[in-house]
Amino acid sequence: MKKLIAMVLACIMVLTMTACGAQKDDVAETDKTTETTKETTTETAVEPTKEAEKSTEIIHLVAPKTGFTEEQMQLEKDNAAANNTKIGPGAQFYFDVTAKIAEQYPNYEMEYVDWGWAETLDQKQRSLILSGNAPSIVAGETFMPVYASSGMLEPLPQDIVDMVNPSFLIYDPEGRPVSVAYKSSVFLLFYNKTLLKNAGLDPENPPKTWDEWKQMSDAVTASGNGEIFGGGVPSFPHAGGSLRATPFFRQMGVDFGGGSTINLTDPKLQETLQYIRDMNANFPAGLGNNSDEGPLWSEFQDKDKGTIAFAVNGSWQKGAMIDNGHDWGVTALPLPEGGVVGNCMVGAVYVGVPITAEHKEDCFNIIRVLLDTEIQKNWLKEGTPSALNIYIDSSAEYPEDITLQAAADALKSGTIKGLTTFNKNDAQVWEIINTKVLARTTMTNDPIDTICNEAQAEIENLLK
Amino acid sequence: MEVVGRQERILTRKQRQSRRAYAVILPFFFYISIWSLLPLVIGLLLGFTEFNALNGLPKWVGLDNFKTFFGSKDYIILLVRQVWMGGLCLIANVVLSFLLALALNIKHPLRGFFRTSVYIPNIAAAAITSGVFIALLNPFNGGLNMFFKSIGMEPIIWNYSQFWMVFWIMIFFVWRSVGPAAIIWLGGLQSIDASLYEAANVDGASKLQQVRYITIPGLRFISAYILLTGLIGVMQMFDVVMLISHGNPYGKTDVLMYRIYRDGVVSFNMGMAGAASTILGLVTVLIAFLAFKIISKGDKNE
Repeated sequence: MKKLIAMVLACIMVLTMTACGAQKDDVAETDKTTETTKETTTETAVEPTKEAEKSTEIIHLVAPKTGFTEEQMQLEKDNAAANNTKIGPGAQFYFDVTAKIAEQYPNYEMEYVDWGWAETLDQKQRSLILSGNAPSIVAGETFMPVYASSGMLEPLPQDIVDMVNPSFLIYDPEGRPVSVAYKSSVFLLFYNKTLLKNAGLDPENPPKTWDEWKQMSDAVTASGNGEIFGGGVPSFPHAGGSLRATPFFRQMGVDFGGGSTINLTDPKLQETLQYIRDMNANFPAGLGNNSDEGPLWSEFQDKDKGTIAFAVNGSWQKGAMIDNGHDWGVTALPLPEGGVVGNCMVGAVYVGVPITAEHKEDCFNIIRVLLDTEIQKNWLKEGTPSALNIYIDSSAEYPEDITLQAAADALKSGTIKGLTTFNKNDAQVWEIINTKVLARTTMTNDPIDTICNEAQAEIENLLK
Repeated sequence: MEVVGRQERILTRKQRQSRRAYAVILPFFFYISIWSLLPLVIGLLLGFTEFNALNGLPKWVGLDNFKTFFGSKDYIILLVRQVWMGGLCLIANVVLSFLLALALNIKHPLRGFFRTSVYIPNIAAAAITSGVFIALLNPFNGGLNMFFKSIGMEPIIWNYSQFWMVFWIMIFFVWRSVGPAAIIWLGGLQSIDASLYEAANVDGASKLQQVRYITIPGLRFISAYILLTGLIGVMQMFDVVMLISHGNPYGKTDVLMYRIYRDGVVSFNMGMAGAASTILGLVTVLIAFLAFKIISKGDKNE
């Protein structure tokens, strides 16, 4: 009996190994065929010079978040037709990039993949990197600093670095820029002028300091009879909270730390938390720190609502305020007494080229197209700051757009970073900051130093 | 010699049957080894490594991840919470599904309709149904608080309270799981010999006595199945937590399985995910073994 089982098992193993082996050979054979095709293509083309030979070589590039597939294009067109509108500038950007690559680099066989965003995209990219099939370009937002710090990204060519604002770059541990955001935004303070007027405040005089903001927000809440609220600093228990709170910490000259250190015991950081807690009283209870941030934005911007006077949000907020017919304004984030200008990059789409990618220079050509001066104007039309220096240093392309001007002023005031990165367990550390520091600060009356000390101990354990 | 050899190869009928049976199940053993055993072994081995899927192959770190697990009270708290929150969900589900099965067993023209209805929440996409729950729990203008306000009550800020979030996790879990468990209970109820109830009626036994002395003993094997599969299910529960509370308020409803998910595919700390999975798996096996011992004790007594 044992012999029989052993025989059957051995047969299955041999069969499986043979099958796998055959599959591998098939793949190798396919590769060879492809290579032969490539060679044939190259050989049959007119190739008077080496350069020409290069340009006719078919180069297959896999790139998420860079262009649109045929299906995505059709979907955008159908949506626009269904709503009887034009294709929006955000989608138009990808149409233009796709067209420009096809025109300028006809030998590029582009595979525009849609791998989702955030965790989904991260998981897909890591699994490919792990299997040795890294995409030609990797994209992302919050996890891109982790990629950069792991040393897996190729340094950017100098011409790309020179054309963008330094705030749009991510650096590797050796200080080399390795990733660039082709779009990003910063936080601004949006306000509803009607609500300020109704509370007896001057809507043309937005707050410049923390104290002024608190006084104005308190006044709106006090006169709102539980229906209208002033608004404050959101402390959602996820990245939406930490992104919006971070500028206020940076204005006090502190941050959460980074690398292998955590900085929750800093008195200035705790002072900022106290301000965030005080301002939270100006939100409807449970809305400023809700897991779902949708209801808060709905109260601020919806046509039939508009019950919150102030909102800290990215420049994209402008669109909803216009569409919903609000009388609105925007200004730089208020500063604490003796504070410094501080902000945080948000809504960025960073791209970089993995060290293991083939045809690196061609990958950088794709990034050059993403940063094309004409194509970048789409972001300005959308109300999102462009990465290019020419559009940050001069507002000639958007003379009437107060939101973009405020964002450009923030970007000109100094290099703005995204959220800081931790060497180990980055996502877990941020989760503790989001839930057990920020949200707990506004959800409870627990002493702030207790909150910070407990979280500090927990995070230190994760960073060991 | 040749005769002896031939004699050795002669198999009894039972042996031939066994061979055929093994031949039938062997491919499935092989299949299970590839798709279940191999990942299990890889997961176990990952627990002894440091690996983030970016910087090459896993680095062997021995027991470091296990030391982190037991050295930090955070993981232990999550494990304990997985047990008690899972326990609450399991008890509520077992009791309610049993009562539901008793109700569905009553002869009624709409019985078929109700049997189908109780199963529907389990088929509906959890992401959609949890969205409805979350909308109801919106602190400012969610359905429940709007109702409370309309009858002059103070709204409840559900997401500030561990009690309420555990309560809603339990409600959502039971709402989704009660149907399938009730259908299994119902199958058990209908397999009990009807003549036992008739005899009990003749002897003057009350309905409660019939449940106590006929129904419950008759459902021992069904209850063992529901308890053991339910136990394993709640020890792996994380989707409900993720969808309803995200572990909030400030981590007070977080459970170990949700943490393993985040360690693995959000933080890409595969080593910690592997170590925590191994520990959770061992604890689950231990609890399931104890539960099995308790359930089978009754059999031995009989």
